[in-house]
Amino acid sequence: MVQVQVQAPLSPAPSGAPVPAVTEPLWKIRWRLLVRGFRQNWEVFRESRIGLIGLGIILFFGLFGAAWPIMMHFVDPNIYNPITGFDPMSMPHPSPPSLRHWLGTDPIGRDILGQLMYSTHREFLIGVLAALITVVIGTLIGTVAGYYGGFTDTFFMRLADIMILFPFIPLLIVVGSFIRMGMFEFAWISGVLGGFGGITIVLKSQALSIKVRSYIDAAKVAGGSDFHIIRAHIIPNVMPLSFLYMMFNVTGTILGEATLSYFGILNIDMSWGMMIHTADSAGYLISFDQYWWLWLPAGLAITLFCAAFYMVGRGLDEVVNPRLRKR
Amino acid sequence: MAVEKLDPSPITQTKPLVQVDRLKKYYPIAAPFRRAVHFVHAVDDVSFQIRPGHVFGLVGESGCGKTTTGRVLVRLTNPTSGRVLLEEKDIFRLTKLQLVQFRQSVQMMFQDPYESLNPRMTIFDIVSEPLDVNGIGSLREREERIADMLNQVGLTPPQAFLFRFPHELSGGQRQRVAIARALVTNPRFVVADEPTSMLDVSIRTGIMQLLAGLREKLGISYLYITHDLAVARYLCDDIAVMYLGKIVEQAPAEQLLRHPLHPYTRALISAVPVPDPSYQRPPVNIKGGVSRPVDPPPRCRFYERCPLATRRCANEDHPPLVERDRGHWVACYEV
Amino acid sequence: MSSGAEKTRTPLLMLDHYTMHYATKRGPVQAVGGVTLQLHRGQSLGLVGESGCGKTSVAMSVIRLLPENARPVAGRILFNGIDLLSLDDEQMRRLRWKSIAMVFQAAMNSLNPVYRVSDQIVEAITTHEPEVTEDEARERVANLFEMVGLARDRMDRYPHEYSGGMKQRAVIAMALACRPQLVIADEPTTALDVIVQDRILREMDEIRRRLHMSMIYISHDISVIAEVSDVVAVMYAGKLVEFGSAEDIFKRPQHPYAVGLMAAYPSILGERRQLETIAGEPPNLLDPPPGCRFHPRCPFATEQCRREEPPLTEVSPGRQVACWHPVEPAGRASSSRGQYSTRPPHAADQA
Repeated sequence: MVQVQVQAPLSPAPSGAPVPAVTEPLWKIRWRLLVRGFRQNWEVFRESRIGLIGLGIILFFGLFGAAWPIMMHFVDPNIYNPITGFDPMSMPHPSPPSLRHWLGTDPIGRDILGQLMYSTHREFLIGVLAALITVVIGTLIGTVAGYYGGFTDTFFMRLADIMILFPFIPLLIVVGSFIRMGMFEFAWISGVLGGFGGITIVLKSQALSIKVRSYIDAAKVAGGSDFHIIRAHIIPNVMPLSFLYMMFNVTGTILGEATLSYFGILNIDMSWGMMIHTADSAGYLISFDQYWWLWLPAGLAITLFCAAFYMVGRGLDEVVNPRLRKR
Repeated sequence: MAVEKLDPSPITQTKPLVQVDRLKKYYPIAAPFRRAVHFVHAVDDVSFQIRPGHVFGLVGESGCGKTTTGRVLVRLTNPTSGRVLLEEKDIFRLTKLQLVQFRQSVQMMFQDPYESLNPRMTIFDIVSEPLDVNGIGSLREREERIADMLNQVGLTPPQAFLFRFPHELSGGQRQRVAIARALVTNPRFVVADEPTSMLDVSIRTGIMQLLAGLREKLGISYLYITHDLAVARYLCDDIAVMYLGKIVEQAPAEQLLRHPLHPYTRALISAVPVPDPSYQRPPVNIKGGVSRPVDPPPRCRFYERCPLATRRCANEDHPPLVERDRGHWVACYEV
Repeated sequence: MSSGAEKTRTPLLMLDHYTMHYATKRGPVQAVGGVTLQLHRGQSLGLVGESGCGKTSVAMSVIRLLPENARPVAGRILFNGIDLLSLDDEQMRRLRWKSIAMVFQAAMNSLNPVYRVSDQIVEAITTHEPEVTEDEARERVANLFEMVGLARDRMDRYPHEYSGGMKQRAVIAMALACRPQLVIADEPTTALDVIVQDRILREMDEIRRRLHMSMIYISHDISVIAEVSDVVAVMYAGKLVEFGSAEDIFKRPQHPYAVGLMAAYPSILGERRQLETIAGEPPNLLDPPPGCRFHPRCPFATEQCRREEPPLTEVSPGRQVACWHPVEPAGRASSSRGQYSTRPPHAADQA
């Protein structure tokens, strides 16, 4: 006779020799899961046109920067070196774009295209390094402040308020005139200042919303230490947002770098901001149509580069916040 | 497979597994830069005992303090005063070693299966967490234990579930994972905070059967927190009804449902809808709604809403919980 | 219970093989599959089923508040003989609230926190009935408040000064503001405690009878449905599996899913009977099983169930079941509730 009473799917543990449930080493499985997760996120990211355009621009700059050392094998370094080069053949400098110099030369006779390419990898380096530092600090402080609350929280939040209110660029201008601020110094300072700033507030509120989930309680009941909970539960759930903010931070850092270079404060041999600075200090920033090759390529590069990271951030936003996704 | 209940009578002689003694938990109402002067009496002088292998149900409306009580029992919050004894040891005065043991022998299950599992962890990592943090077993042993656990909670074959993420499972399956996590350390006592209230009926019964079956098989005691008297009836040996931080009535499950004494219990029972269109429920004859127990006056907590209230109820303290019948305790002057 | 005299007239609301899909990237989600049902004036219909069974989709289709990716594929929704699906947005907007009102699942969120409750209801009245003056509207709000059991002087408060139950009442008052012919209540009491739930259900039922309105209650809780419905529609995986009077459905369910739901429900009354489970889980509506959508979980499923979809057929007047092997109620269901014989006709010889 059939009955509605249906067996609950509760089968007893298999007696006798237990069949190993995990037949592969764990790391292999985890690696596969990671790859799969990455692929799934890529599927979502691919849907975002703005993100793809941003990624395309970043890739272009990557190739653009990578092409520089290769190109140097084919040209005369005395003429085309972005810092020490000088072309006696196309006087007077700055010379407009020509076949010899596709984007012309600067006031002291150096090739603009070469400078543009040469600067690219340093922009990457500064931007990504500073953003990484910011995100690491911001994530740590945000999660710790969010998790512990109380005094720790108040302290770091007030610190963040100061960081946000404090005039960042003027401060760096002052600091830059006292110490020799090179590329790495700038990345460090900018990263640390950013890390204690606004990002902590965002990441803290994210940590707060995770802290009240019941899996945190479950971990506490199981005997998990604070360190365990922050490491295993809070940080992994804050990470996507951190990563997103990292993209926006690259934008901020590059803009800061360009501004400081323009003021001539950074001790850098060459950068996009530096190129504009050179043109300006030699008195060639006069009008839109005269000597445009001195400022337009560099300005465009800064704008595009910053926009690209911002656009990738917007694309990632759709991966991180499922609510923004289009069906 | 159906929900079966152990006969509660033969083990009355054994010592209680959990003893809650005059437990109080007051929350200050936050006032920045000032000492808190007002307190929410979330749990106010609650005592009860849970015998080994028994299910003790804590029933009440939202805000009655049932969840707070459960959280104190697993040390998620500290009580304002009172003691909780597990096997005659005060759980708030444990040595480091005892605390490690305590963490393994007491577990908790949560209401929302969508919030109680970390979305970035695989089922394997989730169930393995209690073993991980306490450093129990080798990797090999853990793998076997977890697979066995998944089998026991009905997630078969375990290989199909181990390395999936919570969002790939349904609500019922998630709740089974949560149960596996709670039971993986072989606990003796589990606080279950409404683990079935967010599930659909057809799924809920399966979880209830699973909880009842595991209790029988593994001899676990539960503190079962629920707002649903019907669910409590099927899972609990004893039911205590809480109102504004106080236990107002406590009795064996059937006794409580058939012969409720306290006016609040009666109201609660008659308010439960019945799946029978021709049945006319008696009217619920209490006034007003639940308030927050902020600095409650010393009289009976139920006074304002009580249909039986007299002068005595207004003038004297909250009535003590007294035994009216074998195992049937009531806190009321007028019944 | 069911108003027999009105059966002869055209029903207030009629769904005729209504089918609706949600377009998603992975294909259409077949949320509502050919639902046919009628609701007469003054009747209350209980729409019961588990989460994702399509009950809310049906309700949202009636009031036409569906998300953008909803695609009504086939069938009609007739309200007073007018096909709601053929109305343009402006016509629908005029009908909504005035003729069909809705009490939402998250009623707490359907009040705007920055306006007084009275102003919100007055605005709803004056936009739909421009001939009503503001004073008249205010007077009506006061009456509505009394009707739903709220004190008159509460109406000029802000939503945050209301408790959960009071907000729910205010939302009900708002739904009744224009004297609609049909009110749809989607899980109106799910977030509330039992005592408050009891009061609100009783009040809604009373108001419905007094104003001779029609009502659709949507709930996953069969006991709530049993208490407030004249007729009940049981849905499973987007399909209507059983339709009939509440008395019939609860005392003598015939679809195995309905039988299973009743048998799984714990009651606080009567003997403590054994609870039974329905094995398995509801199907994914992106790719529902062929034949009867319940067959993978059905203990009575045969080859026919796996191949052919059972049509909704009338088994007795006003009673429809979509099943190849409806469960025969053995004997009269007595007062001992929940004692169903669950033997299907073809199972007798297997005993």
